Amino acid sequence: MDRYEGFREFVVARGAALSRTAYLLCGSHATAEELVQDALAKTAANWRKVHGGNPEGYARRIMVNQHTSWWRKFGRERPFADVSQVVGSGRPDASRATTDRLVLVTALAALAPKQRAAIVLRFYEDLSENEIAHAMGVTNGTVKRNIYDGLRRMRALIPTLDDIELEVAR
Amino acid sequence: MNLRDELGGLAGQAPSYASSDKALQTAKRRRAVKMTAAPLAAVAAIAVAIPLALQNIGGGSDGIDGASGLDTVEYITPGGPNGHDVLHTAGGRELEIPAFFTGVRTVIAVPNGWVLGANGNSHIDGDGDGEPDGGGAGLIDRDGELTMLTGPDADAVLNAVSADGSLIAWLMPDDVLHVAEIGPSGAENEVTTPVEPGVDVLAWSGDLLAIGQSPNDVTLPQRWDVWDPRSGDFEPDWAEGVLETVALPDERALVSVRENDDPCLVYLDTSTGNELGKRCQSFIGGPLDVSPDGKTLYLRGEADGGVIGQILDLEAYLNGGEPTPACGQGMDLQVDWTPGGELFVLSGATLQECSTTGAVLGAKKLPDGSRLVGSAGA
Repeated sequence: MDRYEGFREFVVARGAALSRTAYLLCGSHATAEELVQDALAKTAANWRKVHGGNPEGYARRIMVNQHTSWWRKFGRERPFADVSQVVGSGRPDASRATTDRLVLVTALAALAPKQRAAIVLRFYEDLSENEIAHAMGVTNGTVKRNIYDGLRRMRALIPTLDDIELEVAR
Repeated sequence: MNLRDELGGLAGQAPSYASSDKALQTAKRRRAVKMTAAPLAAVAAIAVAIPLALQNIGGGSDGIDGASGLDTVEYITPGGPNGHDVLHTAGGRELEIPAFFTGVRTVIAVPNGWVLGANGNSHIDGDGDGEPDGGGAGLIDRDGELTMLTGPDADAVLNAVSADGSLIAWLMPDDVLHVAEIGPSGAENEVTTPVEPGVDVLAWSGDLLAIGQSPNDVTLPQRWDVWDPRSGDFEPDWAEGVLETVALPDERALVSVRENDDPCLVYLDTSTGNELGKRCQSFIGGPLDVSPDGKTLYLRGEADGGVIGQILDLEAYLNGGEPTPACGQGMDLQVDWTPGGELFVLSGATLQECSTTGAVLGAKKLPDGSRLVGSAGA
């Protein structure tokens, strides 16, 4: 049996989703590509162990920790996104949508890596606190603190952010 | 605004680039390894004083006599010809760096040029044919000529240049670690040692090479071996929980460790192994930058929802003192020190010169995406 049997199918099925999460975590296409490929390489190396379980969760955990690790080791965090990419994205309700997107980009860029990871995993991936704690390798209390602090920071920058989001974090 | 909806929309801008073939190629070079741990005190027994005068060695010979302050800073920018990066020297020259994609991970000024260290997504164009030739590292002389220091088969990520730019280490796919001196014409006096599979980080501490392994290949490096390539001594299981070690003058060392989820700084006397001071604080994070005299520390920290640079008088801080006001704020803080103990901080596109009290002595704008190489006046 090929030790990597099923890996290619996994990448085809979930690679794009992992790329989207990576992009939200770091805000740079190039860094997101590095994050995804590194996570996939490590997932492949341990494929026999993880493929019967939750390989996507395993890869996601690698991305979250690797991103924090890179920041700690290299200080190589880059601005969240190229504003020109955001402006050029184009949508039918372009003016309001673009404004919202730019505001969100700015607010995410102001977060610390762990806060941003917690926010992305909670409100984009819809993970529970337990799942986020597992993905980040921290306690539930740390997850709560990061979400709360992150949302408080975003709220300061985005007054129109839904009130319910702060309630969720409490 | 609904956060969930907006995050979903933003995520849709991510390009699709996940490749199973590329991942498999990389995976086949890596395997997990489990190692036992040794106490932190072992760090003190091995950490040695770096000849700090050699740190931040700078170029110093590129027509900058008489220049000072911000004008002595060298940096690289993306977007050069053929997609390569461009090195801006203190003398005002612009040298095309033969590297692609996200740029090289490290650029260190050495007396006869610059040493480039690539990463997995930034490839050096070793033969100048416009095609990437793999990762590894290369030496660019002051005329812009490139000499590869590692072969194209070297692990694209795992290479490390010592702080003074005199030594380079790299890992080959057969789990053999190579170290060579960086001479005027390239790698010299190469030595090798086999290592266990699963190496995740290489880092120099003086002339000792720390070899980091991550348990489960997921978290930060937790286990460290140490190799002295000059004597050939190899000490496995050097320490656990260590994030970074910086050797200081007078047989002292500063060690960053993680205890119960909290980052801590430990100040050690390396001659006795005694702990001279320790402080754990949630804001501590990021790489350690220490001034050449070993008295001042610049830390990236998380504070009130953002990332700020903190300047610390080391001994005062370990005795309960508070950091000075921040110099630099933002996600990407790059630092270099002047011989006088002042520092340059590049935050986004803004380069600041600051005193150790946090006072801003000067500032100027650099192009977006710039990376700080160092001060050629140092």
